[in-house]
Amino acid sequence: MKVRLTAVLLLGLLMLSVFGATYPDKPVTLIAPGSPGGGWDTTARVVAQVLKETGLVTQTIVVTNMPGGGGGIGLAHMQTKVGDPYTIIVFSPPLLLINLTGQTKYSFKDLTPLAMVLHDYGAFAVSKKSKYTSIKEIMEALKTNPKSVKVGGISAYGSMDHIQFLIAAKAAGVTSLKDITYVSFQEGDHLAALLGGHIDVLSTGLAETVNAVQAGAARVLAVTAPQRVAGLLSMVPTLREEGIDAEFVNWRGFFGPLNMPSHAVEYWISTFKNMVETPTWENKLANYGWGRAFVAGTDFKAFLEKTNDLYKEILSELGLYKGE
Amino acid sequence: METLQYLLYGLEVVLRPSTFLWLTIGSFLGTVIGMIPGLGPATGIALLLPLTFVLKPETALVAMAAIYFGAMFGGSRSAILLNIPGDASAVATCFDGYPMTLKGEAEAALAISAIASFVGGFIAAIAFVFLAVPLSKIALLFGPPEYFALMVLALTATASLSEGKLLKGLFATAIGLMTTAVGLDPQTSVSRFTFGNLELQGGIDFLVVIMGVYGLGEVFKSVEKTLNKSSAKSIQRQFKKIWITKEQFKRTLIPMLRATPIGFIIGLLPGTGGTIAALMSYNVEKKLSKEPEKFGKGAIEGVAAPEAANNACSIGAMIPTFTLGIPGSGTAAIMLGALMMYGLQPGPLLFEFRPEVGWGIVASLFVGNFICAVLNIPLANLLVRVLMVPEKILYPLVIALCFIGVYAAEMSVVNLYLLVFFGILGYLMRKLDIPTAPMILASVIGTKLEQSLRKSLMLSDGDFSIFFRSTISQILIALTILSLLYPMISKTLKRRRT
Amino acid sequence: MYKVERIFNVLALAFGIIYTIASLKLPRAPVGDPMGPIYFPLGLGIFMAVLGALMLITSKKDDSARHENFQKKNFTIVIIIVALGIAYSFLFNKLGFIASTLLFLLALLFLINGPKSWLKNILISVIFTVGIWLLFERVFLITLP
Repeated sequence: MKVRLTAVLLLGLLMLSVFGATYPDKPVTLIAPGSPGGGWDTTARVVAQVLKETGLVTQTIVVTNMPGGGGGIGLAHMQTKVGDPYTIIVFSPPLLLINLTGQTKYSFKDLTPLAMVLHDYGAFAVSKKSKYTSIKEIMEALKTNPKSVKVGGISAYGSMDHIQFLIAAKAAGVTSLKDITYVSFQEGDHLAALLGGHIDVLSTGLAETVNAVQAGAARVLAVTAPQRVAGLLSMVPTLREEGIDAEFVNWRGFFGPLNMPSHAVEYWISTFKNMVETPTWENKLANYGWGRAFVAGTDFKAFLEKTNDLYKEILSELGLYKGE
Repeated sequence: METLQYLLYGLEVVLRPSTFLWLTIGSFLGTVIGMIPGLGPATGIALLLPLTFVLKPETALVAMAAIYFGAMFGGSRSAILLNIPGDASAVATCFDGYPMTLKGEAEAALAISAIASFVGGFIAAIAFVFLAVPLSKIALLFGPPEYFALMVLALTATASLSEGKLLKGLFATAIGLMTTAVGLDPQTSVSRFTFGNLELQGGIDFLVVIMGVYGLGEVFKSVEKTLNKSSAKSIQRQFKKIWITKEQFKRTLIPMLRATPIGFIIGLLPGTGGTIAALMSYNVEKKLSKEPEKFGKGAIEGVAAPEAANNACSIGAMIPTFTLGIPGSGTAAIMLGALMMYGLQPGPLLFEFRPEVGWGIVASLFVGNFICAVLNIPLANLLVRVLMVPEKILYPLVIALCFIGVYAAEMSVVNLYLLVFFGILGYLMRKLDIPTAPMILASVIGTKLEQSLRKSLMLSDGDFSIFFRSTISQILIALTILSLLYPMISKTLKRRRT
Repeated sequence: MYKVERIFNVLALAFGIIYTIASLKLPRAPVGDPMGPIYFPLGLGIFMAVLGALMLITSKKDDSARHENFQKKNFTIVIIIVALGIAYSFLFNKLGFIASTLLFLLALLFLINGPKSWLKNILISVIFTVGIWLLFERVFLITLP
């Protein structure tokens, strides 16, 4: 019995050493730091699917949801994975924002940037029963009484969904930005809150609103893209068309933990580079109304540093910056 | 009768060989996954997500739906035989299922749990067909303050059930809620009670609480007993046919029919789930029963009601998921993810443009429930063999399973230490006669309770009157007060009678 | 038993008070209402303290006849299992799943099932450990350390 067991163990070790030569040799965990159905989750799942379909990655990619803290919980989790080549995470502007507003002590510097793969944009949606028919009307209502419109979003207070609305409101001439009610719905209940009339306007990503628009339950009043987006929401005007001089780009990219081994970093950068050139990926971009983008490695890091300064400026203006 | 035509079409889709095969596989896998403590339907479906790369959408979603209700069937097996809920929603099944086993009525408990699951699931499936659209509108009326009131009601009702021990029940509730206050605050990321531990920032998974209190805590107590007695009392080893008597069926029919709508409606509400449904229906049965003292000591109604409710709930939870894209539970959320991986958008349009998917899922609810019932009654016969393992061997294995289960849930070693902690806590609570059910419910819904409180206050700008504004809230609050006063009222009533 | 009950009530009251103080000491929220993250734990602490006080006031001497005795002998076995559990948690990542689980199960079986049936104990431990490992690695594709 014991001899046989030893033999089995040895055989197992042998197999490990033969197949273990190429990275990745076991399933990779891809963390979506939000709940299912949100922007991070959708991006993670779509990318995992494209990588599998195109055969770029043959190992299983396990998408794990880790919602909470506007991404802070996922970011904190990554700090327990330092040096691990088998855990990557998807992130977007909140990675910078939650640090700038003082909600987490961790920043993009506590991760290894791999590649930015797409641009998404924000959308402002109302229920089909809403009395508001344009974003202008909402802004006018806010000008007279900042408490009259309740804004909801998915990201945490002071994070992306909140900021993109405040940027638009500021450009529209609303002054008492701090008094605007903003509630964060992080458990996938944002649409229910909008359709049930518990909030007046939902500020979130394009993809998150598509379901409800298609079902005829909600209307999108404006998008934060520089020009109109393709697909279902192509009839929706941009903020500029509505006379509000503002835009907000929601870039999404992938990160490894700090001190990720360099072979793993190189593997993912080249894999994502190949992925964005496939027709399958093109199809997905069109499906979700996403914009094409690719920035990797040190360029991505430089972009993050520059963007971080920009957000810092915006947040200071809004009185939300809590840094030194 | 357009609906019926669509339903027939859905049935035709489900009965195609490939779909039917996957439906059966899903039901079987679901039952097995549900039985293993620590692995619930959410884990099961998530682990099978890669299947979506190879299967057609209708086949994959039907298989996933089958796992969902298969797990509801399976979770009760380990609850009845080992007093460990295989799945969180089987907690209530432990209360009377395990005492039934101790009384030597394991056969009836296993049979009624499968029958009740089937009845609950089948009726809920019929309701799904006709009520999907109108009902999802009612669920929308629940905003943060209404959810808050609903959850407070669920907690006080459970605590007040521990008769004569209301204060201890509330104490257990408070402990359970405290477990959810650990970790990063979801609204502001403020770190609370983590003592600088990074892994604790994600909070304490209620699974660890359940496995600690029900798994380890129970084993501690039993091990102590086994070793203290010079001749350990042997559990019944011979089993008769897994079925129930006519008299038992008569006793459980009405409870099953009452529990089904409770479970179904709770399932409709986003974010609630099988655990609340099961506990609520258990509470209702206990309060309506002519012999409430029998509950907790092996009353067959106490098994039938929660089992019918949690299956009905799993189906109710699919309504907002597929009609509005708003998942009614964590498991439904993963199914929604699978749907979106196919590029399919949920909504009324799903049923119109892709009827093979939409109505295929609906039809699979009927066929799948039937398959599960058929699988589970003979399977139960096999599973009863688990009990034939002597306790002295069984307990070490159960202890090991608890540890492995909590580790697998989050791949975290901190969970192992927490498990030991909650095991001790569960043991002490039993020693001090403190009810454990309120603590479990609190640990499951605590986070949502706090979030709904916070969201309400943000919406009202800190004005507490928001909790009393809507009629729904007012009714729920009135019921809460009633449930707190219930022990006193029932005492006075009893005194008057004698 | 009345004494144990009393001690428990006092502990509940004390814990409630300590928890309340700890809640007040939690960091304030950097955004929104600074007290936001504190309301819930604060309420819980006060609730717990009030419950402790109420239980202390209402507990009667005849109330606790049902309790089992806290005997030293009873505790020993539980304490040993707890110690084993902590050792297992500690060794889990260091020795890996197979080795640590094998040791843990062996220890538990020898403790509970007794050293007489040593062969059975060893066989069960090996089969169970390897079986679980295969189930996770091969069927569920969950990698254990």
